[in-house]
Amino acid sequence: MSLKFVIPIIVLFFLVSTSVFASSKSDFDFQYSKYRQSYSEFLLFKKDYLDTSSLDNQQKAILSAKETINVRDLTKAAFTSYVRDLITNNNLNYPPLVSIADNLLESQQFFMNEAVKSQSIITLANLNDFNDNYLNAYIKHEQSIRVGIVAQKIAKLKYFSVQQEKSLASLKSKIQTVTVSQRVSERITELSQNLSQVSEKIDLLLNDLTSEENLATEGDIFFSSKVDQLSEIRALQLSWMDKLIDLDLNYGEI
Amino acid sequence: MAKFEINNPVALKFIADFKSGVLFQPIIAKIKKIRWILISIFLVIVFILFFLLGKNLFNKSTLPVFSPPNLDSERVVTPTQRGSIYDSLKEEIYNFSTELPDPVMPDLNNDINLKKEEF
Repeated sequence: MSLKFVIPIIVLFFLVSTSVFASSKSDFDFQYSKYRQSYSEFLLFKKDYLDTSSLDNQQKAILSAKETINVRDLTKAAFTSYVRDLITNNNLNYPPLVSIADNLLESQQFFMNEAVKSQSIITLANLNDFNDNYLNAYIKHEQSIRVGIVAQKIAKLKYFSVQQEKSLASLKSKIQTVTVSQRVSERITELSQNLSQVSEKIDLLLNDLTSEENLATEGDIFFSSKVDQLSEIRALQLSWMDKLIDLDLNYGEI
Repeated sequence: MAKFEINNPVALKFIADFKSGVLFQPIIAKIKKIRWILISIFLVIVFILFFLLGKNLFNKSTLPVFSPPNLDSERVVTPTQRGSIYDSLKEEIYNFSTELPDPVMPDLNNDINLKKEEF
């Protein structure tokens, strides 16, 4: 194949792969803006119905509720997809993260199904039944999303960890071409050990994330309790990078 | 020597038109139509030429200026820092935000009903 065909194909590939990620975010933004509009209209129709419970007002309110539910669940599906992409875009074949991504896919499917089911709401009884079932079923999937939001941060730290391993390997191969002092060898060993320690912290954080005790935590506490741990790991990774760069500048160019 | 004579009527007409200036009338008419455009282009070209000339003269005429440093000021010599190929990874880690929730969960009502709200 001649070069004039290969280059456009390569460029198209990168455009498509980046645009897929960009589209899950933009899809969520679009659905969310539709939800906000739909919801504010629903509130007006609901008020009219509660003030004057005529059949006409009821029908309008039900139609508006149906539309709002549809858009709400499409928004949730889009958001779930976006969070899942944030995890999978790191291209890590790491089982705990793969499991979380699979749960998010299941939740995304749940919300899509609910959006489709909402189209069968015709009467007030239909609306009440749908709502009762939804209130029982959605909690588990919302929890999955909250876990996903934290997991995508951990995924990024794990990605950095993998990059650091590769960096250490490349530095080792650069330094090994000359005889190095014992001190340098010790520093390289120390770096290797530090990497393992950080990796253990990441594993611990992930395991804790999906524990039952943690899943039972609600509200802001669920998130705030993770921030310190994420910050600690990031600080360790930064400190590690300083040591690596110091070695590189002093011995890497021999 | 043979006398050179033109007998071709087309050639004779061409020569006559050339001598009388009739040949140039269409060109002159076109130039008259776009004369202001031509004048503007000419002025721009002149401006650019003079600008380049002036710049050239200025560059040639600049004299080197020597001024010794102040005796009481310290000369700080900053060593040129060689960068590491790992700087970009460090920057990526540094720029990474550990704030949560990020992204923020959308504010959605999970209970869409037509019941009166009880407060």
